[in-house]
Amino acid sequence: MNGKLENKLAQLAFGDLTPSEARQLEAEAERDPDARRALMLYKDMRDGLRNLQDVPEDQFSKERLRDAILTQGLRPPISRQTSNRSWLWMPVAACALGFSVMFMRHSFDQTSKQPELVLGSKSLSSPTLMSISPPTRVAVNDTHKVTHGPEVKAVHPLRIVSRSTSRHGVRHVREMDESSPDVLTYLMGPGEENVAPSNGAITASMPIPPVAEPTPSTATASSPIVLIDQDKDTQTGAQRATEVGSASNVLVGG
Amino acid sequence: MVESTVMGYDASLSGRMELDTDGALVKKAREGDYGAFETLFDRHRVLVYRFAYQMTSRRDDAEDIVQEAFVRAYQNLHRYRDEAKFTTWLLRIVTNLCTDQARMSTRRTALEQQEAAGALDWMTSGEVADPVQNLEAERRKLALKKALNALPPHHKAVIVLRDIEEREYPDMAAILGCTVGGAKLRVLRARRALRERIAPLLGEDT
Repeated sequence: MNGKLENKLAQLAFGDLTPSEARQLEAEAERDPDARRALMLYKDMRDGLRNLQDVPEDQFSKERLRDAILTQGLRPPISRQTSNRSWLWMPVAACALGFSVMFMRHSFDQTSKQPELVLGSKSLSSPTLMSISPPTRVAVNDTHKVTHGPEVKAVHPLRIVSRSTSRHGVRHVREMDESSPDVLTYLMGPGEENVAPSNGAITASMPIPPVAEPTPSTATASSPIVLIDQDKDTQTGAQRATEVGSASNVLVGG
Repeated sequence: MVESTVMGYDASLSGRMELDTDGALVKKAREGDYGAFETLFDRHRVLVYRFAYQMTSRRDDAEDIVQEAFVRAYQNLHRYRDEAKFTTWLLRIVTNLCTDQARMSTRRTALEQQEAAGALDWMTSGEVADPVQNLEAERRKLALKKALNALPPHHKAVIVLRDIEEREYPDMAAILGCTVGGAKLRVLRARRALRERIAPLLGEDT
């Protein structure tokens, strides 16, 4: 007996067929002993299952349900509506991260393209006082090569003192110059001083940060002060500049 | 606040609530009226208990399941959508609970089987006057009960809903979360599975 016929017999026994289908199938089952036996078994099943409808009396009470709700299930009937869009934070966070990286990279490129301040060591007449606010990029070079801005050779070796490296947020970037294979560029964090890896004569080239506000203030000993000379250097034609170690009484302005 | 609402239920409102539809009672219960939920409990607990008893074959298990079902219904009233009947939603909860319970206790102990047989004795006592007929009817019922208990939970739920509780196919489809055609197909498969199990117990070939 195939499965299709058996399904039909089950439907016949449980009353799921139309009268015409039922008559046709009953006639067919009369000719097939297996089908007849299967039909009898399904009818017995139907009667037996219907006799199982009786169930014993339950012993429920409202107090029992109330206790159950109070002890294990008490919760405000109207709870918060959980949003089906909780997954949205991932693409939003990814987009925000991408935009922030692009913005930081763009602002970093603009900062690096600013003209650089060339430091000199000679004392200057009519100095211009500037406060260099970090971040400041200092290229330490032993060949006095400056790529941006007027090029000046240092008269005295510039000694830059610092103690902090990565602990205070300083990033070290190694750059290669055509004249020297060992050029270190330091990206300084706020309030940091430069550090030279060796005691050799160096030229420090600093990109000019955004010009300081002309608000007068008293320079502190910890902030570096660069004096820019009005006179031009005879060899390079650029203005000379020098750094003053301590100038606690110097007025700082733009 | 909810606790005070539960304990401060005014029983005088119950008579008025008897006339409310299930949807209206659900709405009141959502707004914190615990009396409305108790009215729903009174109205439908027998229906739920019958189904749970057929699924578990034990009264205490069935009562535990019904209690758990109503607790879950109370906790999740905000999830109930009005397009389905409340009883359908409730039976769906009970079906899931019974399926979970059956999966957790797939292997019944001999004692539990004896208790199920005792329940069968209670149901079949005094139905047939002739002792021989009574014995044969008891044997067939016992075989049917064993075969039904041996079915997987999804087959058993279908048999109980359709052939014992005699629910309509659209109603079953809503409870089982399927189409009407799917419900019919499930019933066919479950009946065949039951027949394959009961035939050896009755000494008949499949």
